[in-house]
Amino acid sequence: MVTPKSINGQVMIGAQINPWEVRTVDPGPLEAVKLSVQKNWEWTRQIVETLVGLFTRQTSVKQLMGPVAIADLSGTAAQGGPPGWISLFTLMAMISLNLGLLNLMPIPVLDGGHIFILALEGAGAPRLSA
Amino acid sequence: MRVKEKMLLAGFVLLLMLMVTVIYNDLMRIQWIEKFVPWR
Repeated sequence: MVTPKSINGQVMIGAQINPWEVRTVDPGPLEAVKLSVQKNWEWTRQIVETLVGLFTRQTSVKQLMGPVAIADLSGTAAQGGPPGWISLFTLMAMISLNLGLLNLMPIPVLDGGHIFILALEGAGAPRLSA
Repeated sequence: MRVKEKMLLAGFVLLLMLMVTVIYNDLMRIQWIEKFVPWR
């Protein structure tokens, strides 16, 4: 039985609707791999959208963060809440995925650039490598 | 070979520009540094 109480002129029952749904998941190994793939795919899409947005000017260059901001974020993630390591490891995973994807961009110095040049040569373009 | 060298140089310059941009963004988020920048 709920007895409403009047606090500062407002009648309350001691419950509120949270805008976020909080769920605790305890997955087995296979379920964990599935969740990991889902999360990585979601982040990959976000990273690609951001990169495309930089060229179409839908994403501001001011949103880009470098080593100083990453250090700041790591500190905040490590201190935040009781399971601090979860946010820290999540951030580490995101940075790792970001590095991997950016490295695949077809810019000549990066690995993606080497793949691009080799693909061009494989497609019949004149040989660029030494 | 000259073409590949030019491409690598262009990529290197692009990455340097990206690095300068993100570090500038980072530093401008720090309030006490922002005070010393007249155009902000």
